[in-house]
Amino acid sequence: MAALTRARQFEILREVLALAEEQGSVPLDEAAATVGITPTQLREVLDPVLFLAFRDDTGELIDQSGAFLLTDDHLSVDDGHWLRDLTTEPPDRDTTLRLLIATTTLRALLTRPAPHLDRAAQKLRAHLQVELQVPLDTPEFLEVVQQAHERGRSLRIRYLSDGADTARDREILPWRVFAQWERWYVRARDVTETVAKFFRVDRMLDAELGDVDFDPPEDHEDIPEWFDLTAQVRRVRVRVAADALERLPSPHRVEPVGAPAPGIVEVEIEVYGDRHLDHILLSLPADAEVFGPDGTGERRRSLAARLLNAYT
Amino acid sequence: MPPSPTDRILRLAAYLGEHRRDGVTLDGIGRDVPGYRDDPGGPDLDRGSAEWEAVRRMIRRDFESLATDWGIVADYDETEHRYRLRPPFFSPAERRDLIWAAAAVTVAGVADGPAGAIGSKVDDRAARVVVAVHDLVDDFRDAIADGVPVQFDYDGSTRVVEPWALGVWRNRWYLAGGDRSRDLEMRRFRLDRIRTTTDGTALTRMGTPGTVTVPDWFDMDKAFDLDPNSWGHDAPLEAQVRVAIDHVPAFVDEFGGTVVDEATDHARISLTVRHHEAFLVRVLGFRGNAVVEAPPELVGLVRDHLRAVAGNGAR
Repeated sequence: MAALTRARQFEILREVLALAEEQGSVPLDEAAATVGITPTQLREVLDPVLFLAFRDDTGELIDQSGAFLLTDDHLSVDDGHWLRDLTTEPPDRDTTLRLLIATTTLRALLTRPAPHLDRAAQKLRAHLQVELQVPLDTPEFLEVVQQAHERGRSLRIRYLSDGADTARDREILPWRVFAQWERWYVRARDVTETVAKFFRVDRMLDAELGDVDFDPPEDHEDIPEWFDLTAQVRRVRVRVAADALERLPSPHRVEPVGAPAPGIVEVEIEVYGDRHLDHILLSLPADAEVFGPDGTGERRRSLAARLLNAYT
Repeated sequence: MPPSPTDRILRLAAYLGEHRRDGVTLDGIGRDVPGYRDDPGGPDLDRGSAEWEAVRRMIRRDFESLATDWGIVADYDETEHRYRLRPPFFSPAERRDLIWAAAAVTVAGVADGPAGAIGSKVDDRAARVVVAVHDLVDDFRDAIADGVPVQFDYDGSTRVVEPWALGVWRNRWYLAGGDRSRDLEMRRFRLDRIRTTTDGTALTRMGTPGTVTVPDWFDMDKAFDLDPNSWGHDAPLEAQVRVAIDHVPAFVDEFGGTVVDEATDHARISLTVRHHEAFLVRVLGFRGNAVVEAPPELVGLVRDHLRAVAGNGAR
């Protein structure tokens, strides 16, 4: 393999030392694989920072080697990352944006003071010169949900499922707690069932620690990038004033089909689940024409008639 | 054996760090950091001599490498003939908290920074939160930072906007800015409604950087509060809604309001309504679990709509 250029050596060092600081410790072969060289090459690149020394004004030998340790083929950072400590320049814009979003989000979750995080966020904001707002609510029972997850204990909840009129009591084993799409979720298995599901923490009306201990399975770790809702897809075709589409409840997707008259459009509206379909049907202007699927118009009329009972 | 350039530059960094307060001289570097002089223990070199000039050039190159490769910059003091490190951008404690934030929050949709950037190597299996960033956030971020107006196609029309801030509401990214065709009136633009051409571009920069000024009255919190009950301009009405007990948290999450009366199976919630039609649409989402009881104007609005739909929906 060709000798590594100085720029490449520095790139490798930056990456590997970042790994060591940010993960506490990293196996040498894993670090080498990450940067695409052999463990032997990595040892050679690391030598300057592992055994670095120089003399001060008085001729005394200053040893900087203690900051990075290589023991048992693991590289670790014992006392900060002295090269990063010296960094005088701000991060690049992408890193700054990423860090600013992360700090802004984390800050919204914290209930205790975090002065260092706040100062860091202030510096990032000033550097980026961008005002940014990333809200994240913390639902009432998030803390007890996290406790149950961390302790490996079941969670007894009263839970209102999407589309249900009344909540029901359940006991779940919370394998993973995470926030995605501005909502907090628990991936959990109901103690009476075999398949895990996702529960929304904001739909818990009550929650307390249960008595069942558990170890989460190993394959539950990734936060999902999307939920497969294909079985929940509902579509309705309507003819309606174009500006009325703006007022329909989200989320939904509109597919234009035609424009039968000025200001009037024919569209197919797609939503997930019966509750959202009913909401769309009820929210359409009264003079909207509902074309299908078969029975959808009657469903709409019947829904409205049922609700009307509460107002007469 | 003389140290390699990599070794020498890292020693120079450490030496600068050790002398952060007093700075370092060219002679000091040549004497104390291996790799610059053949006889580091010898007398100081004559200023202007060939060897002195060679050492100076080598040190200057190494300073450039430190700046480029490590973001470590030292300034030269002409009067004292000393190099001094600039203060660190983040303190170790600030960096520790940034790493903590990066580990807890996965930010999806932002391009990767350079190798070894802070937060780039955290173990994201421990992440608790995922924030998805819209593709156009990068472009708008740059336009805001540079203070340059932008043009884009939005809902079928072309807009020229002075960008002020980016924010998220209900899981959607928005730009708040001054619309030039409306005397810089503040408008919010949903990024997913901005038309992107087939080559992926959506924004055109218009004019010179530094020409956008965010007005003093601009309020971030209000800018990204898109709740119709906050910005609606209808005559405010005090509504009272009877809500089934299991739906009270969701109702309060949606509308705000105050629980004024609570029984075993329901609660009464009071709230101010500033956008009547939006209120109607949102309350219908609760079906029979939220029934408007007062005032008569809102009760009539819901009842008349339902009556009309019940009589007209069939086909």
